[in-house]
Amino acid sequence: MNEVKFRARTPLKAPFAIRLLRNSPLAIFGVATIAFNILMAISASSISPYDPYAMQLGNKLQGPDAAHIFGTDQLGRDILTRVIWGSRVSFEIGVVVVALSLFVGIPLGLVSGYAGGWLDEGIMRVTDIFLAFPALVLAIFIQAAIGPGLTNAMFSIAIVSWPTYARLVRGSAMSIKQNEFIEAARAVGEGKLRILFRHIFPNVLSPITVQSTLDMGGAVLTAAGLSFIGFGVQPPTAEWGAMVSTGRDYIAFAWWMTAFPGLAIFLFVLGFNLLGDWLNDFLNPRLRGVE
Amino acid sequence: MKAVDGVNFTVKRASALGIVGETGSGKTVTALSVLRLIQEPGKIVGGTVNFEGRDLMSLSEQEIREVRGREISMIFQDPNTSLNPAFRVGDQISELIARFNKEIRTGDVNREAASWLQAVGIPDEKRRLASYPHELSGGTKQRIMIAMALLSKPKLLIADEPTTSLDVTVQAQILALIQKLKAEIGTSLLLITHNLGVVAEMCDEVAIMYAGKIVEQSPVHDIFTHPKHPYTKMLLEAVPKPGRKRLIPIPGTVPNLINTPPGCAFHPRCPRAMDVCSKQVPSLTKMGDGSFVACHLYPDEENAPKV
Repeated sequence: MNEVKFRARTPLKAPFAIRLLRNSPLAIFGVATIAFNILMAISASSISPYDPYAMQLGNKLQGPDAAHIFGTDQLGRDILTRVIWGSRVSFEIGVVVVALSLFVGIPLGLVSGYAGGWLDEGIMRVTDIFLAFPALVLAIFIQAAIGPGLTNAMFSIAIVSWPTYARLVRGSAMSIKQNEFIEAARAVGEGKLRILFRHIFPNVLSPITVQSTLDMGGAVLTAAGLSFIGFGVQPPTAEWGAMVSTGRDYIAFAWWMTAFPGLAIFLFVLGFNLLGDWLNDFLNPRLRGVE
Repeated sequence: MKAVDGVNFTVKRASALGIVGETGSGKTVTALSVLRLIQEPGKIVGGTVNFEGRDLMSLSEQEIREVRGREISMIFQDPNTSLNPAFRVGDQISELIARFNKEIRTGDVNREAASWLQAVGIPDEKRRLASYPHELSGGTKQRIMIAMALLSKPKLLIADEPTTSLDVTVQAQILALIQKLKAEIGTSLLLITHNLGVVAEMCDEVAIMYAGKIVEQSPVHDIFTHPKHPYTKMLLEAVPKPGRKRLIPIPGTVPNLINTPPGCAFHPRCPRAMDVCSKQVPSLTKMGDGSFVACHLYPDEENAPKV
């Protein structure tokens, strides 16, 4: 296939994005939070003051002070270090869950929306079954069946989150296929698969982008929930949900063990939600006032 | 329910046939049927499309896809939705060029895309190629659609109301452009429209459709000088003309196709309806002057071809 790319002299999107971002302090806060988290995850080994797994039993359950800004846990591990390392696990969870959901949801949604008929009915009834259960409850069921652990946690969260994508893509695909450019593509002899992935898929990217961003936070929250009740990530892995869960036993006299990982979860999820909201405004042409 | 039934027409090489009819008379369905583009739940239940000695209806899916775009192209009604909003115009044109000419080099694709924009009268072609569809006007987009339809030098161009959604001034330009390129490439044209003026300008022959059937077909000159079918006559009286004080509308509306009137579908609106009109469907009959009419006012003059 011969691919030729043309570049516009003035990229329209960047200045517009900046302009819009400037008017939205919440979005700036969201982006900053995410950027901060990414930085933490990338440089965890160099910026964290201690080893996340090094125990100092003589130094356990210390409150926040100069040596341990976030305090230490019941085994004398530095909470700040573990919170920093926890961002790595969170990104891993977010990215893997969203990627798995996209991988399953997009093709099913495209086929469902474009083909219609019994295929559409079949796929949509399956999504109905998944969506009929509260996401967290279903994820707990699945994880209870397949056993605890990080990989299984990501797998079970992906199983409950793909139907949203399938439905989202289906809805967009159904409206996009009404456009004459789809008919035009058929009129120049293009095949079904090519129409699906080359013509419809690029036009469903904006809702998917928004949903993926929101789900990055959602997946981490669900994973933290699973870890909290003992299903997800297992100790000693430095994962925020698991840390909160461990800290629960000591909450009466060591509030820092739950408060700081909890705050980390809160900021991570908030950051992605704010960015997702803003992306929704930005990518939605109806709110833009331009054709 | 049959949207189109018993329609039979021929487009001669390098000539232009216009199909005229009111909204809902089956013009678009007819056009889409030629390339077998009817979508579910619609279905083509029978008939043949003879294209240079091949029956397009009996081709395999793979074979008909080879015909689409290469030998028969289409231009659609609404240029605003005919281009994919997610890609630059240049990419969409280049993709087609590369598809119809597998050996072409990347640089040549670029040059050819630019030269096609010039051919359809778009100035500043370099910048236009880098534009997204939403940055362009309807007229420009339709010019691009014309370029994309003709760059394979097809033998037949089907234009489905190509100017309906454009400004009147742009309409004339687009029609002139189609006519010019049609002559240069030697393409035949099947023009679907509800505008008789457009037909007079562009076509050699006209078929008038009513409720999914052709009611009259003749050389373009005859339609305007000697219209035969009462429907054609009334259509012509409803066209504004200098000196015409008031237009005479055709009373009533196009029949609902689920419940077509028995006999001739036009008889409830026809000022000259006779008893036979509500009982018997008139067949398309060849007249002495070479035109075809489906109306009981014109009984068989010769042995009418069964349609």
